[in-house]
Amino acid sequence: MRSTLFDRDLLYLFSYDVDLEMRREEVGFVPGGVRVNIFAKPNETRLYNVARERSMLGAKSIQGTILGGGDFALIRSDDIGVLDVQLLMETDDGALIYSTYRGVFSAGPRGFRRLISEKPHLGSEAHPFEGLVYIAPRYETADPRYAWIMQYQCAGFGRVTVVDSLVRAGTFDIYAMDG
Amino acid sequence: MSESDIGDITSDYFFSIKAGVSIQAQGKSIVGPAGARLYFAFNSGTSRVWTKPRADTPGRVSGWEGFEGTVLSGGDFALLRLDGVFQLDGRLTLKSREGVLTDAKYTGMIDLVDSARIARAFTEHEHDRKGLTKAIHTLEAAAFEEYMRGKPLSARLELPIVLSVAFEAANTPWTNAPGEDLSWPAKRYVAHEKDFWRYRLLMRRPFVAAGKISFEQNLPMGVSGMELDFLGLSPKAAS
Repeated sequence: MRSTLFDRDLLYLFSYDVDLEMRREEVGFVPGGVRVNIFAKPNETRLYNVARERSMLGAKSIQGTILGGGDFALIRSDDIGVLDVQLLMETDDGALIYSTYRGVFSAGPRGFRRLISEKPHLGSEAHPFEGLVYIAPRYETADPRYAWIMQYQCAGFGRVTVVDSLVRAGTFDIYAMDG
Repeated sequence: MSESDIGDITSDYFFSIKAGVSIQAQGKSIVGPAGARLYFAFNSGTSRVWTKPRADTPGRVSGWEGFEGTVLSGGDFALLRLDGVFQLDGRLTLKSREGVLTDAKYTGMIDLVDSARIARAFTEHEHDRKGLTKAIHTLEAAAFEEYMRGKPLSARLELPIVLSVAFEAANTPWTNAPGEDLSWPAKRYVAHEKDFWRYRLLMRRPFVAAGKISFEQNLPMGVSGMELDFLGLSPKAAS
């Protein structure tokens, strides 16, 4: 009988907070749910190091800006959001990093109805709904200083904030799975 | 609509797109083991989606009345492979004049290698297959290097492009419960459900898009625009 295969460390890479209200394309109902394309405002989302989190690079971590990209999301009728994201990032020291990932977000019981209905809404200004998000990013870069990132399958843990059934913001911590 | 036979497949013309395309991130690319990744975006302000008048009038395919609108957004993190082929993998959102949004995912290729030079290589190495392999490899690698170096293109160059496309068009809410009240969705998700029938065919068959991509010498990485005809494929009806 073998032991579990998950005996890896998660090595912290960076975090980011993204404002998701900037531009939305509400395509509408498709089989299985509702398609919504969400785009963050270019050049306004920062990559940073969460304080006290030990990073892959010791004292430094990946710091930079998201240049552009978007999430072609499907809000499924079983209350699960499926993310499909492509992003382009630039570090403060000029390296360009491309990222693609899929993930899931749970809207909670009857979350689909509450997200899509006129009323009742999901989340309020006083009590925003915060849903957990799990993503599996991979990265590409040409910069030799960051080439190491391409050998990792990464994992991201995040939260999205929903007010009045609109996804307002997302915050993510990204880790590399250390082999 | 015109009809052409490809084996046992019929293709029907549905609509066309003409759009400006520009390189993003100041033309910076990510050069990795497989090639260079470049980020292009469609310029919605200079786009047009329309159904061209053709010799066969619309209506050849029952239920299709044409598409008039614009490209709302779109982009492509294209990979220029080391062998001189642009591998496309992009998204488009189209907006019809009724306000219906239609999503498109596409893949495709653009070959930057000069086919005339490849043909010459075949002639020159007719009896030397090892030499032919080396010559082709050299031409393909050169196409990649020349594009990345921004080697001046001819004043205006157009290259053929073919895409495989899958659409998603807005529909009415789905339910598996007969008789279920469907008045609950917010208006913004169902505002155009009365028009969904116009575009439902986009989701009911595979599509290819064929056309050209334009390059202009003075633009970053040269890309300036794209013009495509979208054709829906279906099995040829049994006679």
